Amino acid sequence: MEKKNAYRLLAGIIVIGSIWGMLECILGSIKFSGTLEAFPMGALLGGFVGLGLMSFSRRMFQVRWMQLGMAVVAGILRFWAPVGTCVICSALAIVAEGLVFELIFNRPTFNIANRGWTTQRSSIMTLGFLGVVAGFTIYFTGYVFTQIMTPVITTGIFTPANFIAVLPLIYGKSFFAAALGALALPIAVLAKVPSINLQNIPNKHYYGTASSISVMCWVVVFAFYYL
Amino acid sequence: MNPSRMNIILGVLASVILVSSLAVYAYSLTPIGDTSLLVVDGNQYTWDELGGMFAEVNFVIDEDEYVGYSMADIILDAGIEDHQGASYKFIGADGYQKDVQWKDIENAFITDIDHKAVFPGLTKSFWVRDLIEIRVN
Repeated sequence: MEKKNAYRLLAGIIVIGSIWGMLECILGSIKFSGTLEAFPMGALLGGFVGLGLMSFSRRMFQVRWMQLGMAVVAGILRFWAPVGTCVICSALAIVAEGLVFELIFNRPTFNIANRGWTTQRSSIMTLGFLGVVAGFTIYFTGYVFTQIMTPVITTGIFTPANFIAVLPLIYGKSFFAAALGALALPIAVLAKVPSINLQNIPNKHYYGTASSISVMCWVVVFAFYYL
Repeated sequence: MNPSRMNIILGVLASVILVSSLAVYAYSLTPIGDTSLLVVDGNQYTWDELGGMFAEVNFVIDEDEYVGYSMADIILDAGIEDHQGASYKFIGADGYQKDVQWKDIENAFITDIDHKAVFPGLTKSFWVRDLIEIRVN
């Protein structure tokens, strides 16, 4: 990859990862009460926001492993925001979600960047089915990851019996991520966006916009938690 | 892979995931025990009894205000031998369960409305909603 393109890719990773991290921090801190207490915010974040942003960036940049980089940036921002007492666990879970995305979508069969998806019915169906599988797998993996890592990091004790007992709950809650994934993937891949060739945007506009949005995301999180 | 064949495989897989996870979710909504009781090492308390037996306390965690009962008071009332050396398993109505040591129980609470075991010194993944049993090992 040319040096210029590598820098542009890095800027893309930072800006989209920052947006993802900011949404994880802000939406993840919303507390519901009463009948809304069971609102599946985690599934919304993993199955819709996370999957949607990763799919959209794969479509726009067409670069493998970029999404893992985005997840690392989002994880760092999440780690920086003091929500809960095991932020490292949440941060690592986001990185795990990025890794799962790469493992699924790096397969040539599921190449959403170059497969020439159209708005034909069969493509929408395929993307919907794939979104179910991806949304479910990404959320399930992230949730399992936190259930293993949190007790290990916070108390040093991992109890397999407790983990096994909670697996059906994780499996059941993953339904919402699966259903949301069926929406997120077709939208991210098929939604009409202005035909922008990222390579043709002048450097000063590209880097100026990317750095402004990235800084804004970090400032918003800082203001939200520290001010 | 042939696109139509891939569609069939993905469709079947997606259907299995959606149907099975929805079924498991619906099943998890069914309580595994009597939600009107709290069982502490075999001793049964109704939630109404707890209100009469233990003083309500107000506490704040991460700027959120809660009302509940001291968990240590309830466990001591149950007459646990060697309560400091014992290990405690907190079980929720949905089957969620966590093991906690006495040092984290000393400053813990059980909320009076949603019967949540709240441990200020531990992450929220240790909090158990709709608590129905505290098992002592």
